[in-house]
Amino acid sequence: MSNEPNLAGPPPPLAGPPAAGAPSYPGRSPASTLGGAGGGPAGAPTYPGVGLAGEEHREADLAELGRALGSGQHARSLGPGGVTSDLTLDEVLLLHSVGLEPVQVAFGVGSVSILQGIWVWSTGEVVDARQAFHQALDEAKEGVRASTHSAGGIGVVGADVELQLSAHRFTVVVTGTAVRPYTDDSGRRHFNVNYRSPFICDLSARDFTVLTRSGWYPLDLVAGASYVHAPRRSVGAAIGQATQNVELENYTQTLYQAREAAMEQLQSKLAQAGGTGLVDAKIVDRPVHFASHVVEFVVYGTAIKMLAETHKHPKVSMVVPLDDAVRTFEATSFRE
Amino acid sequence: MTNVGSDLPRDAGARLEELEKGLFTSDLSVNEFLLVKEAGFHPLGMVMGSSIYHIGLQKGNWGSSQELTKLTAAMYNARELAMNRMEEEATELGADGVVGVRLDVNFYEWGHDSAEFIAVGTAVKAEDGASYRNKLGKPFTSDLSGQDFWALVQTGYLPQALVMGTCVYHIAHRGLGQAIGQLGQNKELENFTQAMYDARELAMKRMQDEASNVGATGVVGMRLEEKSHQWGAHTIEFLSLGTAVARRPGTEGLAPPRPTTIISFDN
Amino acid sequence: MASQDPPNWPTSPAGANSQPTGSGPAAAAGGGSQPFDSGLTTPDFAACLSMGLRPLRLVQGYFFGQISNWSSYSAYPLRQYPCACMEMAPHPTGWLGQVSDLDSAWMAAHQAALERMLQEAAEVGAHGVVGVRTDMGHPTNETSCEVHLYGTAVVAAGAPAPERPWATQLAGHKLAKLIEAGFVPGWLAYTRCTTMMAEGCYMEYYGTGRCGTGYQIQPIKDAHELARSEAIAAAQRAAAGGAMYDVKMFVHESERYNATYITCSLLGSVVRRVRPTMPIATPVASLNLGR
Repeated sequence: MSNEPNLAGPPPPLAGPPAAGAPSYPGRSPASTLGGAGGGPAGAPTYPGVGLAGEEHREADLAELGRALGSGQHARSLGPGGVTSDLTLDEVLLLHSVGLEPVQVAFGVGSVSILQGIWVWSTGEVVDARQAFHQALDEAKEGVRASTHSAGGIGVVGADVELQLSAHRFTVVVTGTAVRPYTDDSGRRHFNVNYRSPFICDLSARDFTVLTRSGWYPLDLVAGASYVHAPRRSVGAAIGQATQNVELENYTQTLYQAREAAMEQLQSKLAQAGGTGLVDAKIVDRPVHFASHVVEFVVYGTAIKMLAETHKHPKVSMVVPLDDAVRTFEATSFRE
Repeated sequence: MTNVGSDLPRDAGARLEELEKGLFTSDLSVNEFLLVKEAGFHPLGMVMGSSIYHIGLQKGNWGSSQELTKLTAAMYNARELAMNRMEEEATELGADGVVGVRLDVNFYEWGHDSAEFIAVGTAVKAEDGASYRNKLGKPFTSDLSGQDFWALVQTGYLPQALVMGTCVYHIAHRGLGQAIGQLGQNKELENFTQAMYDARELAMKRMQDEASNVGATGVVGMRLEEKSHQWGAHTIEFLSLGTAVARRPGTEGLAPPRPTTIISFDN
Repeated sequence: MASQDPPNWPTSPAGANSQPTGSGPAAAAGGGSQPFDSGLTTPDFAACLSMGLRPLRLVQGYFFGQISNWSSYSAYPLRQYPCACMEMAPHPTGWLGQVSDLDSAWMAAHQAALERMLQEAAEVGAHGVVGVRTDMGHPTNETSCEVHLYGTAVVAAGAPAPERPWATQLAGHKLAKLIEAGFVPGWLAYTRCTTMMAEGCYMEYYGTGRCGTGYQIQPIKDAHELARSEAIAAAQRAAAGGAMYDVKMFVHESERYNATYITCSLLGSVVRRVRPTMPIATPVASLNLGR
């Protein structure tokens, strides 16, 4: 099922460039360009149109804010419930800059029962384990999407995928922060990509922002898995090969084939989701802990697709920081 | 290009064909992905090679320090097989090179005296259409991360090949009389010193010879790993790994950009 | 032999008597000669000064208690799952419960420690506490419960004192960014939910019959979901009207007495919005060469 987003028209017009001036925070240079489809005189920072209409970034008047700290007045309610999010403040601000805000921690749980007999040492691939994996992952993804949809979000960012395999059960839990487009006081939305069903992105909020500014958008979480029995060697062959350096072709072919099969599943799911590519693939490659003759190979990541006309290049500069480690204060107690 | 090399599994052919159509997969992080694009390359897909190799028994003389040539040959051949298969997959894709190569060794309970050697990386191709393959006409390989790759390209150099040298060395045990006689003394253990020095030299020299064979000017990002794997404390494999580099023609006189010095206010 | 304590050495913990220049708002406003101590790193200290926040002293809140075994493992039953085996009498094969006593004990402990830290901060005339760290654990044995909160009390120059000092895990430039973004810090919230799931046909367990249904999926799935959704819902109630950011979510699963216990806990900072969020400056992409 394809997750083709529908673009609701051209990107919004750029706001005016912020006032140039000496930065009040060290390390932040006023001459910055990141993304931005043109606009603004050369050298002046371009800004992808997010923010309040007509208002630009101005350095905070700290004295005024200090007074606000003291009184804490004019606290505006954000709705009946509060907002929960496991994003740090930096990540929240970065999401704001592409027009999204966090809503709630969203999660989904999928659990599938496995017959214990499939782990007995035989040959070939353990097909039931692979099917259990996909079923549990799909259930977890459906749960996350439902949870996101009921909270009013359009997708999940920073998803953490937890895979728990035991002899009789496969449990997958996907947890992340649901986000929705940020509507400012004048009612304008700054994130104008429409998704048919909530997207699931396992990249951090910072990676999500960087990718989006380059024109690539996430679609869905895709995975491939394969569980394969290790072949057996006859005792005669083992003794005969004891002193030789030799490649064990049977073993090689079995494991290599299993890995390629998992990557093939990943690619076909990627194509099904309508994506063009996948970055930051996570690979799990180890023997199954309760059945060490079965080797598990799982690869998963976020399918992405370029929605802008061309890839937008960030201008990268090299820096050499002069810091050494900073000493932080930690209290230790009599426990270890 | 649908010719699958005889070495590659049957699923690899179908998968590589799909990758040629423009789909890509990679285990590069988002930052590495953007930096690889900045350097002028586009990722094609993950490529990998693996080999399960049986390592023949060889025991060194208890009292002498020597290289265990059979074990050295085994470790080298196994890694070569894995890397060659990875390069074959990259060649199938029409790639210019492979970045972010990871070389892993897995020992399994059921694989007595054998180990699996895996090489995984992301194949990339230049966006300007010119060929960036190395001097032997094969796709370059490197274990540089996306960040290091971009920084290298800024200097005008390109990776040529991931070069390695390995040496499995057995270190002599001290005789009983000698050990008792040295109890309680602060003393240099010459057998260890000489053995480890010789072994490291051998490993690094073999790596350098590989680099010369590829026609490279130098090696960057070198590291030296010492592991006993499963052989006990007196038998150590010294593995020297690095990326051989050479200047891209036409970039003589290119001065790399000067970095800005900053003081970061993050904790 | 007379005691050789150095002069001005406090003879009792924080209180009016031990501060030579007096305590309370007078000392803070007058910038008393008592040197301050703080848990701030140097960059955070510089940032605090540039924000007009003056550190006063390190404050802490501590709670040490005992949680009975009964509270730790007994669950309020919520749901039962019937077994579909062929035995004559219908019987449950799994059940789900919530260990609410344990959760309320830990949440109360955290609240107590937080209150004590804020009380100490108010005593020295602080407006708020920055850089708060939380340590929770079982120092002596499994029934013990220890919560330790510590941070640096600060006073905002030229501002009136709030009714109650605010507290936040942030310090330094991150706090400045929070304020620039239009939020003010509120307090710290800790919520948790522990669910317990027992499965297995008891006929098989006691050896009196054969049950061929094997393990059920629904109980463990419900246990996972309930733990998380309750913890998140409690966090949303705690953040009512505001937002809870920088939430750390811990999920811990353990088995005891043939049952599986799943604990989901959330620890985060509650903030309130006082102004609409201002746009941030466009970030500069840079590659760090000095690793």
